[in-house]
Amino acid sequence: MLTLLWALPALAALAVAVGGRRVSWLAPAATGVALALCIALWPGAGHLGESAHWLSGPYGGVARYSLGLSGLSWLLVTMTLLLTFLCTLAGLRLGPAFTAWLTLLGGAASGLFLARDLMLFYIFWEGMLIPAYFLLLGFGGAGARQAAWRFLLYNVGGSVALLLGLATLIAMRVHMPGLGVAGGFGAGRHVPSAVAVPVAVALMIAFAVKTPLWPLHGWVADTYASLPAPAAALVAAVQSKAGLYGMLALLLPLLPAGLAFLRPVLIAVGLVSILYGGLCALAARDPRRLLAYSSVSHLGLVAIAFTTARASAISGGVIQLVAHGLFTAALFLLIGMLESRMGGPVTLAEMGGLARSAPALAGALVLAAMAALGLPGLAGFPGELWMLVGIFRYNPALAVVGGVALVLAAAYLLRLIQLVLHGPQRREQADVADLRAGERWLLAPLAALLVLIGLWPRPVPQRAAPAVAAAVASARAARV
Amino acid sequence: MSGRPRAGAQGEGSAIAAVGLSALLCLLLPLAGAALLALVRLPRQVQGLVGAGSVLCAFIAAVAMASAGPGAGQDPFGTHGALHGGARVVLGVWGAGGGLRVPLDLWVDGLSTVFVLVITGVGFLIHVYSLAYMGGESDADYGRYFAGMNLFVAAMLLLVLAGSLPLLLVGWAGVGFASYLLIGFWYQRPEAVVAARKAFLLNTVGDVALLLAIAVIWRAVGGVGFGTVLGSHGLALLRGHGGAATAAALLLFLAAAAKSAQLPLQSWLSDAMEGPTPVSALIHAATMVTAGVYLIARCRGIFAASPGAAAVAGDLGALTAAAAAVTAVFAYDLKRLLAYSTMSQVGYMIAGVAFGAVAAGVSHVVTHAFFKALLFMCAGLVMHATGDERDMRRYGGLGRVLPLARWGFLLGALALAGIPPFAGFWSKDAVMGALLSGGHLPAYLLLALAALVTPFYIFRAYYLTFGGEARGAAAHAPTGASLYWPTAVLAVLAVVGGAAAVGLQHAWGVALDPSSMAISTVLALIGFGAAWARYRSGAAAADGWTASPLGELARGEWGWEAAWQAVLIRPTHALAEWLWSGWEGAARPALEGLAAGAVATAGRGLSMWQSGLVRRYALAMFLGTAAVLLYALRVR
Amino acid sequence: MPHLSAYLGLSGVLFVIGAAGVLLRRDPLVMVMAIELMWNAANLALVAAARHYGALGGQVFTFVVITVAAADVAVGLALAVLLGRNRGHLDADRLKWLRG
Repeated sequence: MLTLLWALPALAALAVAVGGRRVSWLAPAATGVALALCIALWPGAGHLGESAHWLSGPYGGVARYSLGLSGLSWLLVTMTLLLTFLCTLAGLRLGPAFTAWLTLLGGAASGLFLARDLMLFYIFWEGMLIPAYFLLLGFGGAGARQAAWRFLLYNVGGSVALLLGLATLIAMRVHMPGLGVAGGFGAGRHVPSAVAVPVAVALMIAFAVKTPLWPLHGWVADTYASLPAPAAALVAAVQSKAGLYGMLALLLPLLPAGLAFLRPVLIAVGLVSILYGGLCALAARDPRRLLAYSSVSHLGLVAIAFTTARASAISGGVIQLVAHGLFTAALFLLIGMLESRMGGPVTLAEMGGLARSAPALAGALVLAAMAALGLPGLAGFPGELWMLVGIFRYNPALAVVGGVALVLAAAYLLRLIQLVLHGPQRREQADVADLRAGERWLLAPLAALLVLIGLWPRPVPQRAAPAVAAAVASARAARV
Repeated sequence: MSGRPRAGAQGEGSAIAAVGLSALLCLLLPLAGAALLALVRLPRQVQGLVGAGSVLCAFIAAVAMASAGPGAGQDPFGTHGALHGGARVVLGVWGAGGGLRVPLDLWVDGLSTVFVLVITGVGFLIHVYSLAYMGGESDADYGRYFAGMNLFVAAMLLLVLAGSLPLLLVGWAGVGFASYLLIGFWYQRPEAVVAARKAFLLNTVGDVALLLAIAVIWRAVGGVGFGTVLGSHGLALLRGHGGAATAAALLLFLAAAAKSAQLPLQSWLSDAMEGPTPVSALIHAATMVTAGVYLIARCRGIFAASPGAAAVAGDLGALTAAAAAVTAVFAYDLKRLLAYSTMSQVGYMIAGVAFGAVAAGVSHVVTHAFFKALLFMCAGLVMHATGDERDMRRYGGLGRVLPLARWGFLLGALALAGIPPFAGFWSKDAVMGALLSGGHLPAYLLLALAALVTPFYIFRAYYLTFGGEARGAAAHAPTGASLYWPTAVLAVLAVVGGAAAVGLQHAWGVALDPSSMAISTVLALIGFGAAWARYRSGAAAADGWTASPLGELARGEWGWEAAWQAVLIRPTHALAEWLWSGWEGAARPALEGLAAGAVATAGRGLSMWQSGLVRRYALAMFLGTAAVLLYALRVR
Repeated sequence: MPHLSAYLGLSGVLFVIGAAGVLLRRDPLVMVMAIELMWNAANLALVAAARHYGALGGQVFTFVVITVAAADVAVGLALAVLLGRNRGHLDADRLKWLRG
């Protein structure tokens, strides 16, 4: 059953790759079915137990094919499938190859969030990298070759580190913990610290590349700037969550000793990411790079929240993972719609006054940007609240820096809104069309979720609670 | 977010249910109005009907809430400023994770009831006024305007009805966002865009301060609901927890300063006058800027637990009152003058509530809402009549064209000046009397200075605008009954609203101080007399003295903005620019290139080994095998 | 029956001669022969040791080696012939188009 959640998109991708344009509709359809299936798997409200799927595979004791759907996985998989669904729809006109790679990326990401085996985790991890590379190479705009090289070198470097780390763990017969999935999985064995430290360093390099965190963020701006908007939306919204999910799923429960060793470094890296990303976003010349650096800033705070290993901060981090996925995707899709009207990539200086001719697009952009800057009442806020409150309890000074990041976020996102939408209208933009009906329906679910999570965030932390508790418990057990 | 309101902490179940239902209705009606206006394209008349009607319905619900619940006369505070006797309306849980549990509660007591009545009552009048005032806008903009106004009212109501700090923060930021939308309503004007951004950023500083205050409080108390934090037990925990009370109080004050345009975060309000004038009346005079007063009043117990922080807050409030009043003397722009006046009056309120005179401060919120909204409405009439002219030097003689605006402005000015028996006197003097009897002398002296200057600047504005001869701006009276009758209602309230203030003070157990009343009256009359002596002719020549360098300095807001620019904003942008072009643009690619170059060089170096000579490969194999063998033998 | 060390000594000498042949001669044909010499040095050592210790394992392994060596010669000679035919010379040092 759970297999379908990643296999349906993957098979559809295969079918589209073979069948070509005539069967392109299969990709969103299959993803939609998987999404419906995932939503149907929402277990009874308030229950902690989730369903788990188990098969023994060809590797015997070393690696098994095992998937588990915890509340946390449910949140992330649902988000992934929803965004894959929307992004494939948005990108259908780019042709079957594009659709196939994009759907494959979504399927691999779903699998990653479901995997409950280290080898399987690695396979899905790589499964995300390859489609993204080909999307970049095949469909990127100007400078895509170089962007693709950057992307590949950074990410393969991360993957090698991940492989080394995971292979060490596999060789030591360490199993991936169930993370809030009841029964069937090892409880998560602690690794002696002599091994845990280098393994944690290796894993963290991979996670930091994927997230990305400073100073391993070199690929992100070019990649987000070159990918076609629907692909950029999916990569920015979903693939960036893989690293942080890895922290929560592997680093905290398996390698608490390694985390303790890395903590000062990670906090420093997180702080620099927050401020560096925020400042670069403030100076960015085009909307895509602005969003790329804002991701570095936003996710740096989540990394710090996870590093503190406090339940409140981690709950906030999880909410933010979901919210960031939603608003980043919405922002990239909107930027893509803008670009399709302007006839190509645009810089901020070339825009202005679009709110006059495209009020609905303006409204959607304001909504998404407000969610991104953490306006209370929208989805970006609950995560910030829980994170900052939890981080404050860990170390007040860190929370103050987090607060500075919020002000910076307001500054650069207002800059985005105002340079694009406000000010005097430019003549060449007087006839920019407003959102078409199809585009409205594409954005509607995202907008609705952004408002809904902002007004009533409770289900998100409630879903994630068992996984968070499990991660914190083992991290704490090691501390004692 | 479902579920009927359940019985709260105390009182009979049915009464609480009635309170909860009316409070919820009051909250949701404007929200529904905003959603409807934003999402559906309605005909113009329906837009106005939805916009004003939803607020009217909210006002009716508010009256129902006041009669079913504790009512405005209920003193919300017990000993040590702990909340006492409020009705808690339990709706569920907003969110919970890792020990931080945020209840989805409403809190209805005397304080919130007063605010709800003012917000919906004055808010409704301003909505009606807007129907005609914004009549010149296109249909789409008309709907956008009322959507923003309704959103504002909904957020403001959430702010004052929320039963926990995070929920309050949702309303808190919501009003900031609505204010951003409405300041930037004419978004094609660059000044409006800049003003909106500035307001939003300074408000965000306040939001972050409030967020950190929540963190401090949660760390000390372990909860964020009002019943937990602001009850006597929570306050005792806060007092017992090191500097937590002081830290929380200072952060709360910073938040309040941002929202209420107090020093050191005051500078956005005067620029916010770029918005439509009814917006200035509703948001930047009657309601939103008093949110800081509400916050400090609501958290009275925390300030009571930290007298030092309370003194900082109160003294800065008093300083703002004096400084803004002095700045207003030199203003040429009528709306800016009213904005400085607002900062000054809110300074009174902050000083009052911070030093514990909550009833006095809150009663001043009420009367100020009446007379300042009135003054803004009259200013709006003047601007409409003169084609959006805001410079008082180009007014003059408008009293003949706009009699209602003239009389309304006069009554508002009398109320603002604190001349008995008009509304402002009773509340303003309550604040001053409380400070005098409480022994807060520096703050009292600053407020006395402001009380002296206030009549002077407002009557300067009155005479320059309505007196004398016309000086340039052509005037014709705007039409539209809905412009006039809200103005008339507020004018009446500016006269008799003092009764509400005194009633509130009486109910909350505060008495006026006769000696302070006498001093205030004298100060107000001196200020008025000076203005009368100088400006009664209404001639521009009388105002010549404000053209001095001192005046320039004042109109430049004493260099405050330039200082911020130089100290914080420009360096931040310079740093960002340096990181962007110097580091991201050059150094990082260079480092990446260096790494790539190192790999390539190493590759070239190592490729020398790949000579292609079979015999050399064989030699390497032999040597390698020999080395391995030797090693194996040695280990044996 | 000479002592085991004599056989091993002979085997060592043969191996060194073979190794020197591989390393010093440039004719692929001779190099294949030298490799063959090394195989047989190893065989000699295996058989001698097997007999000395009375274990059959070494002798069995010798058959394996002989088989592999035969295949080796077949491939090696074929290579040498082809090289001579295609390149017109038999000089290992001139065959370096695998140079990196």
